[in-house]
Amino acid sequence: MLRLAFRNLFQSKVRLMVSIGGVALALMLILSLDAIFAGSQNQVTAYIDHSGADIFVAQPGVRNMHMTASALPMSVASEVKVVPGVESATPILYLTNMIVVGDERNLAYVIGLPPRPVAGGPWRIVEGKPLPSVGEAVIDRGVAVKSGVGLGGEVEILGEVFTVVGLSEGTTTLLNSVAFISKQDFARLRGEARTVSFVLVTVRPGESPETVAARIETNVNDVTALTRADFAEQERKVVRDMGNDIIAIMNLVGFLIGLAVMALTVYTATLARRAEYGVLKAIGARNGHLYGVVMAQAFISIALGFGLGFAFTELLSLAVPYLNLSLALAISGDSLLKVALVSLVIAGASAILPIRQIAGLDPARVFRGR
Amino acid sequence: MNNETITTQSTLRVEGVTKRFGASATEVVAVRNVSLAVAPGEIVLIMGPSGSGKTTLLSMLGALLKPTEGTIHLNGEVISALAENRLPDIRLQQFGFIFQDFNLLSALTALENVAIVAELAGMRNGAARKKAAALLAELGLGGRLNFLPEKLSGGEKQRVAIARALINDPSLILADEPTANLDSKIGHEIMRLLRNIAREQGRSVVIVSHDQRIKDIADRVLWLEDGQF
Repeated sequence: MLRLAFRNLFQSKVRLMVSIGGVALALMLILSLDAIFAGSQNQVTAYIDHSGADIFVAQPGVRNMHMTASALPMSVASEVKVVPGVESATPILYLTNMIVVGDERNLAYVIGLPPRPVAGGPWRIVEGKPLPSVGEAVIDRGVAVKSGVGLGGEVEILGEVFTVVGLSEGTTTLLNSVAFISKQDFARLRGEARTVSFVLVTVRPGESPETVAARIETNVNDVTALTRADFAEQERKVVRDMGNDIIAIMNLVGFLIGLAVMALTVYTATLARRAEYGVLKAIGARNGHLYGVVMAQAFISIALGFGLGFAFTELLSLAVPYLNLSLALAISGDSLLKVALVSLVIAGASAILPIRQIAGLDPARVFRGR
Repeated sequence: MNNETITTQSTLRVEGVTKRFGASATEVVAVRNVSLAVAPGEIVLIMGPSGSGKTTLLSMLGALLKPTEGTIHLNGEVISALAENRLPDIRLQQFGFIFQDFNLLSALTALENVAIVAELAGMRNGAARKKAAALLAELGLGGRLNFLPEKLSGGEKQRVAIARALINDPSLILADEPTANLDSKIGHEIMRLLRNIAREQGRSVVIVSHDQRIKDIADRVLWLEDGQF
């Protein structure tokens, strides 16, 4: 009966392509949205992941960067530096603000870097110099292209004009980019000469970041110290929490579309072969045999749709960098598993009506074509 | 129109079978107190005007419909009294059906159309295909095994249908207007084929037909009118 299912399915190639295409697009909706959010979560922690810091020290209770503010006395950097296990302590200033070029405004993490920072600076420079001096800025290349500015051009940050001296890569996300100016400029513009936002800590070789972070919290008053991994996870959680409802709704939409396409296809395919199923019943096929044909058709179609949907999503993820979008798609195993399970449910549910059709077929009507 | 004499050696024995549809004022008696016996190797042709009950009778003989009254015996077993869930297996193993419109599965080749019936009866795929190929070759279709029904002529399709009817070695073949969609020459060929099957293989054949041209092939011709012989 599996052979019959295959043959029935592939006999009408147009119908098969339309149904598989429909299912593929519906599943692609779920997969690509998951991939965008997973990619965004990876992107949004790019600065944290590439900062070079093992530990982030922040104002008490501050456990991530996005949409937060942190203020520590300048002296904290010195206090942290002497905690056993600490190799370096780099104080940075941080604010979420706009990079303005003419009418073009781009949201950015603005990082104020001290001279010769051990951690916290741009990790990949494609043009120009890596560290800004007074009056200078390093911005993301994608943002520069979008804004129509290059090396030597001018951008407005924190209300002041800076000269672009370096273009970085990997410093943009769906939500914002990262721009670097000198800590001196930052402090002057924000009146924060005596405060820092975060202290980025590297630990001595052989020391555990978790242990050193705990020591910092014990030895230094009024700080929160998190390892890079924990700090990044907290950052990802913010993005996840922002997107969960949207993802859930769009997953449901994708599921319903896939179900509708599949149900319609299997139903019409069964209806079209109603007479043949009647003949098989007359000859002696049991309902179970015929249910098997319908189920096999549904599962084969959904498997093909799943494969095609995955291929479409992969193609999209490969194409996105060439489309100059601030997106990254990351297809995860969890997402694939979720979509595979959704596919199984769709296949099963779509077979229900056709199975009821078959159950109600009267084999005696096979005579005289009635 | 007399009821047939019942013999104990019959493949098929029908005793006082009646079929009613509906009730009270809307009751229709499609078949009325029919008795019939068909011996092994015998060809019985049932003829009659439209609405005479031929299709209803054929459906009951093929265990597709239960009689309201009376009994139907096949090889000594009372099939009319069997539970519904036993009837598919009876039809699969004991009957071969030949339809007016051939009713081949359009997505399967000639070989696969025949083999699938053997597979339904539990035969393994390889053995089923081998048996189907041999059967089709015997019927002159050795060169058409991998053709889809749409590529076969009417006569070829009916021969595939005959092969399908024979694949599980049934003792009774039931044919509903087997020559209706065939020209005279091909129709005669098909009927001679059925006669050879009956004679050489000892299978009983019951044919329902309007076709006067095939009367000479049958051992007995019965006339059904208003549900009675």
